[in-house]
Amino acid sequence: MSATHLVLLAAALVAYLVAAGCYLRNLWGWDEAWTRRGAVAVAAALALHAAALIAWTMEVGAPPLANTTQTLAVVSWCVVALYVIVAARWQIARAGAFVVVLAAGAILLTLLGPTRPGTLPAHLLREPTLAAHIVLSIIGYGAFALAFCAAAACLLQDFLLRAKRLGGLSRHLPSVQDADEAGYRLVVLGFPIFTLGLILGALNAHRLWGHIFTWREPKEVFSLITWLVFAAYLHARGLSGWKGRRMALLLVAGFLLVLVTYLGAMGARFHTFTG
Amino acid sequence: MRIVALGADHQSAPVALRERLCYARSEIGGALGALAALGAAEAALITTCNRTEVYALWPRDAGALASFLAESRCVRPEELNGRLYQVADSDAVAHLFRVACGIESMMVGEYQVLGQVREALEAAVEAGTAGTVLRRLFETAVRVGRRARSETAVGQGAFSVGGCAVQLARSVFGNLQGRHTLIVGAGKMSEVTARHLADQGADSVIVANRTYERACQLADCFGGRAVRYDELFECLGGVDIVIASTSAPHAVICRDDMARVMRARRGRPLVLIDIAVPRDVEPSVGELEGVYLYNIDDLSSVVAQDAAARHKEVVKVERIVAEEAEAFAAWRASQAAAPLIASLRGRFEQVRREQLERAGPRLAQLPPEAREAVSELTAAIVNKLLHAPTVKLRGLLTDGNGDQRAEAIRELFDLSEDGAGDRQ
Repeated sequence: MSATHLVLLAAALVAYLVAAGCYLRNLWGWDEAWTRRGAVAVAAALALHAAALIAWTMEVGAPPLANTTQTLAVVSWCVVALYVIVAARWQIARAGAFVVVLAAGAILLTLLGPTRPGTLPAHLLREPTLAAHIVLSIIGYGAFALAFCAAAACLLQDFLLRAKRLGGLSRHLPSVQDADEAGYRLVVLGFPIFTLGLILGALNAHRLWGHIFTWREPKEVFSLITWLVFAAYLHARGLSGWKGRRMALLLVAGFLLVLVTYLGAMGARFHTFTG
Repeated sequence: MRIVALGADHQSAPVALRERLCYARSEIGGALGALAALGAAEAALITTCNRTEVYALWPRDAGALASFLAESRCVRPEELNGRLYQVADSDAVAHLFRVACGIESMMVGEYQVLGQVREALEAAVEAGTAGTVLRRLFETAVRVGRRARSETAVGQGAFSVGGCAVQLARSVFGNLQGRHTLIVGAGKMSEVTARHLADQGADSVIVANRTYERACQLADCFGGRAVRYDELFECLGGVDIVIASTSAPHAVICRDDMARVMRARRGRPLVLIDIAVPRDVEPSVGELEGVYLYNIDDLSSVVAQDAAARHKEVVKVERIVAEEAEAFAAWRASQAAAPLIASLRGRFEQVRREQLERAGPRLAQLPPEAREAVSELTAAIVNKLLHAPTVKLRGLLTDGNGDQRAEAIRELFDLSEDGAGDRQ
């Protein structure tokens, strides 16, 4: 396998780290010029990242969706792309530091992560329902990850304001309410997509393994718990009108579950695709 | 002619003197006219509550400018002894730049002074006393002031308790457009703070006060509405920002009441600004989820921190000022030297042509290429000879002795004031 995609991924990683440096420099200082530099670095990183994914697809002959390590590169691209689309509109551009750090971490995992033998056979990837299950899950995860970034910014801002630290850091973070609102919108966006992904997953499970859901598969169990947490969030936030710190904490909890579902379930029985 | 600046500010003169030196807007035109009559080629006046400064292209000594100021403001000259500062040439330029950057202000980095510098220029233009030099000087000063505020943090942060309240509300709500403000206790301080918030778009104001009539008065100022004091807690459910400044001797907003309000708000954030002493809000209210409670000390300490942060930026601003003052001096030098250099070149060229003409008959015997070469050679000699003086002159004419030096050079080379090369 040629290494073009690895080189491009590494370049994207460097660009993300540069962007992270710019954003952090902005958070701790006064100079607004750093946000502009950060935005430029993010755009460059996103382009390199996209190029890496395309190169990878061409090298393997199929999109890099065959195992967790590969999809991580796609999920992180989704997070950043989503951020670029909604940042200015939903006033969370200033949460950029969280986003790029997350993306850089994901790419690092892809680059260093285990190249596990267990990958999805290419012929299965060509099946529309299975491909849709994977793609929808990835977009859903991406939206939840970005919602987590907004929630983290919200919590940090809340902490600073309570500690009476109205200095540069507080000024360069999104406001409590904007971050809260953006988190909600992202879950509203991501939840139906994630749900659809789950349903397609269940159908595929039924077709391939003969069950719709089983307690014996950690990935399926954690997916269900994740789904329930975000459903609870939407209920509390959307229907009962709860806002603020508690909702942000719920989003963080939801994201931790996403991580467990996504990475922690590597010990899964069925999603390892070895057999 | 030298640029001379003379004036008094909060560092040099007590307020009793500063207020007497301050010109009313309507008096500025007359004063500038008087300065022109006294011999100022160009003149401008900066006058604010903390600062009165005269800038002039002044042919006489600075003392005459001080007596003008004393006479113009009906102050005895001895009262001004030691109370005025005067600077000239590049120091005057740098001083104006520093003023425009706000680093000479009492509140370092404040913005108003930039407008005042611009107004000084407008008044001088109107009075007809702003010529090439002062116009460029003041325009540059405004640009430098803007540059300092965009390239450094000298203009960042809160300048007052009200500004700090705005900052806090911004960090909680982002945009303040359409936010609801509740004023509890219709004092002067709460009015000022609410005004800051209203300027940022927090337009809907409710006033609750012990005496309902006073509440109505203040509500009218903001186009808001007054409520009776006992409706206070009903209002708290629907507003975003509360400014409390009653004269009550005890807390009027208690934790238990507030906990009930916040439960009903379901975590919707509430900014509570308590500027009353003794405090109106129980400190433990700040522990409630979604409440951001700041008292007068919290706000003041943020203002003080921001002021300290701005002070740290002064060094960077000084660097910008020095750089810009140097650029201005270079422009000034080229301005001052240009006519002299032109007449010098004109004179040399004239001599060269005369000599070529005199040698004409002899040169006529030469082939055309050789005649061309002679002409080029003489031109090259003239250029070579004038190169060093051209470069040096720019530096020589900027300081206080510039006029005398220019005069000496004119005499030395027999250049008349409106000589051949002076047409420019």
